Amino acid sequence: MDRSLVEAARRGDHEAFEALAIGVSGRLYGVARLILRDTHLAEDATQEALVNAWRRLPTLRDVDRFDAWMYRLIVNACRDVGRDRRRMSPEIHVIQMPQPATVPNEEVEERDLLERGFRHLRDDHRIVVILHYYLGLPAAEVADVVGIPVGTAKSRIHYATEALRAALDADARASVRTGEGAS
Amino acid sequence: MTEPRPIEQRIARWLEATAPDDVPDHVLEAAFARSRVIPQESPAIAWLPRGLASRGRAAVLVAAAVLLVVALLAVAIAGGIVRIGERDLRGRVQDAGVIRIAVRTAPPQAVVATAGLAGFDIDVANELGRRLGVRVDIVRVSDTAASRATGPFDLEAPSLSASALDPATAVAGPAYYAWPHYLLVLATSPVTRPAELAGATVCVVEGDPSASWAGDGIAGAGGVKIVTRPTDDTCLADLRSGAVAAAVTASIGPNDLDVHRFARSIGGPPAEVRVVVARRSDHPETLLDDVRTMLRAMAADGTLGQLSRTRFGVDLATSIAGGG
Repeated sequence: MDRSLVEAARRGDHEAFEALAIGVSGRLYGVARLILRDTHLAEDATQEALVNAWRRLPTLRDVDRFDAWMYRLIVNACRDVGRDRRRMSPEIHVIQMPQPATVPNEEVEERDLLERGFRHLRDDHRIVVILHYYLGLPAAEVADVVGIPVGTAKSRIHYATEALRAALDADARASVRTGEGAS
Repeated sequence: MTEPRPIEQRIARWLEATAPDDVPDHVLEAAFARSRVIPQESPAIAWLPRGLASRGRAAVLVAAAVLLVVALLAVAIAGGIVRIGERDLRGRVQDAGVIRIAVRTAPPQAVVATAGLAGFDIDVANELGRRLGVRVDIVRVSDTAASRATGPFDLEAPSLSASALDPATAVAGPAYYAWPHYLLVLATSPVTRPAELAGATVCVVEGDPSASWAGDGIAGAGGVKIVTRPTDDTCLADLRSGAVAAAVTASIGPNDLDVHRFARSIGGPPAEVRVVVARRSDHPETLLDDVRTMLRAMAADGTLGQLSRTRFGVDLATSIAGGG
């Protein structure tokens, strides 16, 4: 993150804002896709977060916190878009995630298990998983972005991690049982 | 047997593989187009103490905003500046997430094709909606002036000039292209300049703005006799038969000139600047300002020129867009 760009954008320099947005938009879109599991909704959320960023940039007090501030905006935009989706069409469950063609079988299987485990998590647990494991934010920053106490962030990360571990372990146990039965 | 990787690594790797590589360009373009026309908030909001975070701070902000709005409304109502219940058109469009744009089915700007309506007006309407970040509903009307009082649309891309509008009901917005009119004579005619048509009979299309230019004397020739016909085709039939010495085109575009090889152009009136239109009672000023900014951006980045070349064969838009 270029401090001078943030300063310029705060003063109303739209070109500086565009440069900043191009730098951060990939991560924002990634977060939105992972949270919302839908391409179009993720695009809407990303666009909203960027427009809100422009509008509110002059109110950002600590320029060094720009990235965390942007993550807060995208998480809030995903919540808004997600709320609209539930209100408007509760039956929609679109999963459109890319799958590279040449991935070893066991890896595909693991992704599938994690995907299933992830879908069983509550929304607020999914969000901390994405912030912590995808963006690499420590628990304190996750807490700051989501607006919860650090202890709660740690506990959510722990719970979600264990739930995903359980999803993988359950399959491993099932494989062992199948193997025992066959011998 | 290899030891499985820690769960943390496995989750991180899965998320990395699942997330998309990059954001689609149109998302950035839409966000930039919207943000270019949205004012930034005042930094004063950030002066509130951090201790009033989340709900407490929000409550203070809401209370302050409510007080400010009430005070401003009281002043405005007392001064007769606003009437309660009125809402700016831009706000309504943004709230609805959709903009309804009316077009006239006037070839070649908007024609009914196999796959639905198509043409330059439709292309421009769709591009404006995309840049505004809202869905576009195209509303097809046979006559925008007649539909303006009650028509279910927010804006018009009607391929009309500002002079064709009734200022009591319509606001002429920014220009989006300029339509040429050609003064045609037979390909075999010795006439090479409008001035050489003095005393000749010239055909114009009824109601077309070019009629006044022809009536004023075709570039100073003076003494021309004007006859009107309902369409370009009937004017051209008269030209072909020799009933008139020249014809001023109304809807024939640059693409179509090649089709009429029996005729050639010797100039014509100035191109007719065509504008985006809104209903005056809708309070459209801020939305029209946005449209002006977007049209200028579309001209600058080549979008408008490309749309024009695709539909008309030449760029009739870049030099004029956003003006007016």
